[in-house]
Amino acid sequence: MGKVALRGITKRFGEKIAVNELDLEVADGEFVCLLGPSGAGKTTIFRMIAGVERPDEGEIHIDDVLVNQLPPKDRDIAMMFQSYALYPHKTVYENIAYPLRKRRLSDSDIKNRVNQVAETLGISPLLDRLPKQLSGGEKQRVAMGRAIVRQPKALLLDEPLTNLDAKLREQMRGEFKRLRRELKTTIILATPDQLEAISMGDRVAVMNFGNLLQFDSPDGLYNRPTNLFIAGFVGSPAMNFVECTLVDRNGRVLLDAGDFRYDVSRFKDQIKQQATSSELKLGIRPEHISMSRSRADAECYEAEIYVVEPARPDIVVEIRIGKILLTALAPETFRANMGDKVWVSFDREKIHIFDKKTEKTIL
Amino acid sequence: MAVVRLESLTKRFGNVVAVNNLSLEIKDGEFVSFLGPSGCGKTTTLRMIAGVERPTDGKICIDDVVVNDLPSKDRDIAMVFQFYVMYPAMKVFDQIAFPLKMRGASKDEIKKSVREVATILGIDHLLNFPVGGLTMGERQRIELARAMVRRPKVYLLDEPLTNLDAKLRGRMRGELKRLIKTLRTTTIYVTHDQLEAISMADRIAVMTLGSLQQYDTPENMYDHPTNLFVAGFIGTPAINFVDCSFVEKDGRAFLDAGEFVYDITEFRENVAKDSTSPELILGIRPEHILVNKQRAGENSIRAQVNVVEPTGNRTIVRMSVGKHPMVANTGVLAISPDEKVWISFDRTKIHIFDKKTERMII
Repeated sequence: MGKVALRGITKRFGEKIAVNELDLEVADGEFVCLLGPSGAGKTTIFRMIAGVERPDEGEIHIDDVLVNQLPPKDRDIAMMFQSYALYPHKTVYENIAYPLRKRRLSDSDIKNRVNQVAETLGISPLLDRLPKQLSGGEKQRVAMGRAIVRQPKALLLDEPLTNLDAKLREQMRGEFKRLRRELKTTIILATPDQLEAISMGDRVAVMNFGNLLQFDSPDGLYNRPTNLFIAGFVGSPAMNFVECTLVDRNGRVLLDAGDFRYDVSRFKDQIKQQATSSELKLGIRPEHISMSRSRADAECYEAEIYVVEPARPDIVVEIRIGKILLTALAPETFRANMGDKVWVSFDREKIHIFDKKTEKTIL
Repeated sequence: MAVVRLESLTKRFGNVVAVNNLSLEIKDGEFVSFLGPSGCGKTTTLRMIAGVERPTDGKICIDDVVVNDLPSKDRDIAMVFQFYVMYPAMKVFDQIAFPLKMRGASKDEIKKSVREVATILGIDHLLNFPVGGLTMGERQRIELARAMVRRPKVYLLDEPLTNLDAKLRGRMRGELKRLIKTLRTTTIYVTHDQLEAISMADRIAVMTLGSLQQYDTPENMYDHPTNLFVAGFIGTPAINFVDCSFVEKDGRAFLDAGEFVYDITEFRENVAKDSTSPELILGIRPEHILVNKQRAGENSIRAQVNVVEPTGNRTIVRMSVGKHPMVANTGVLAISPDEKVWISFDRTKIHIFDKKTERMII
């Protein structure tokens, strides 16, 4: 069992509020990602769960037991840092066995557990090696092994993939996810990388400046972000934002962006109810912008190709409508040159509208 | 004009051949990327072109002039680094003017050049500001401006985006590409990031262990890789490779991968002619694998889903076909781990490699 619940958790460092009234519940066996830029409060939260930092306010429960007063060694939480320090003079076997030796398990019990963990992590052939003989990915797995061999209630991983190169990171993401199904341990992983969070987590908690902004499935965050920050932070290439003004014209309701106008009459009730002013932002993800050589229908805008990046399998195309620069994703057959003219339209079902002042999502 | 030609360029460090007999030509105004893993020789090659490293053998020519013995400062090249230390209090204007001041240019000349270059790069509004406190994008442009103001024949960029996080790198690529193409100056860009190279360059020179593997456009490199290394290095997630044997039966030709058999009758002649043995490797990129819940056609193969990674506008699906791991990169897909699915390959996109020579046949 490994339920972790944070209720009303606040932590201050002098004047600075590092974590602000956080409510977060992680279910037993769930893989939750804490996503946020540097300074969002992720590491501070981990340290409070592990018990090495005391909250100024609020309660931490592990399996429904209040643990605020429990020292780290009694909480049964394993934490793995970015710079996992493996004992350089111990073999892989001894590195993994170390926490169990400290607990004074018998040699045969230790052997069983270490072998089992090594098997799960695919590092059985490495047990006799020293850390300096291991690759980056292998070292990481040994560090994981050392963390999980204690069968902790929850595993806290603090930016485990940050130091790996791009290709290895991509491989390790899949590995982690596969591993996690076999481990069945509750895992909380902190990362500033949105791709890592949405590809691995069952649910993702998006944080910024100590506040929890949205705690949702990857699909929820991607398709139904509750504010501008989340909409722009989750997804790469990032969502396009266009500043516009809500105008009534000839019985229709339009978003006036200066260089083009977008009809939102079908949403007029929703917008008028929720907008605090007529200053809005239109949001559209790159993959929801279509381009064509000919004018397809009425709601098309003439644009100029600004730059084409064949970032296969996607083709990233930056286009300009007047002074407005937008990023679109095209299929791999797309061919165009800088300066070409194209007709652009937005997927009607996929537009987002945000209130410019409050930054909250209206649509 | 700036044509850069390398003729049989070699660099040895003791017993290690860092760059092995490299010959290639970069056209005037072309944007070429040197791409490869750590230790492939790309940076050493760049340093030889810059003049900070002497070749062991071979020639470096800029506009038909052999420059091997010319010191860096006389080669009319400008290097752009990834992390130039800028004095935070120094004004942007002075930062850009620096190389001209060093040359002893007149105040008027300096003013004119700096303004001109700053306007092209869209930073003329920042000229009176101190460098500290500017964004990464702005600093990058200042760095480029410093190089541009010398009006070099060639720009040499050494992994300028490496220290930026993934999202910022993505945003800066487009900017940088546009800037470089606007300048129309011959540019050589070193990187280990294949996505950067294929997004930006006119042509790419892929290297490994000092040797050139393929020198081609990003499109050709991606769609027609000449060997196993290039096919596997370019593209993410990486291309799927399956060991198989070439089998002919009843007038048809197949790739026998053990767990499945794939009909390649239409490629039979080419495969028979160009292969050195029946041991082949089938290559198929993740985005060219179709994943279906139902069997779709004769060449459908049964697979088991292991891991599903939603990436926003796409989904990475890691599967097993028997013991063979396969990775697909589909659009948004509602699928779960442990599901059994049917996969098929886009026939216009399959690759066949000779296992022994590692060269591409199809």
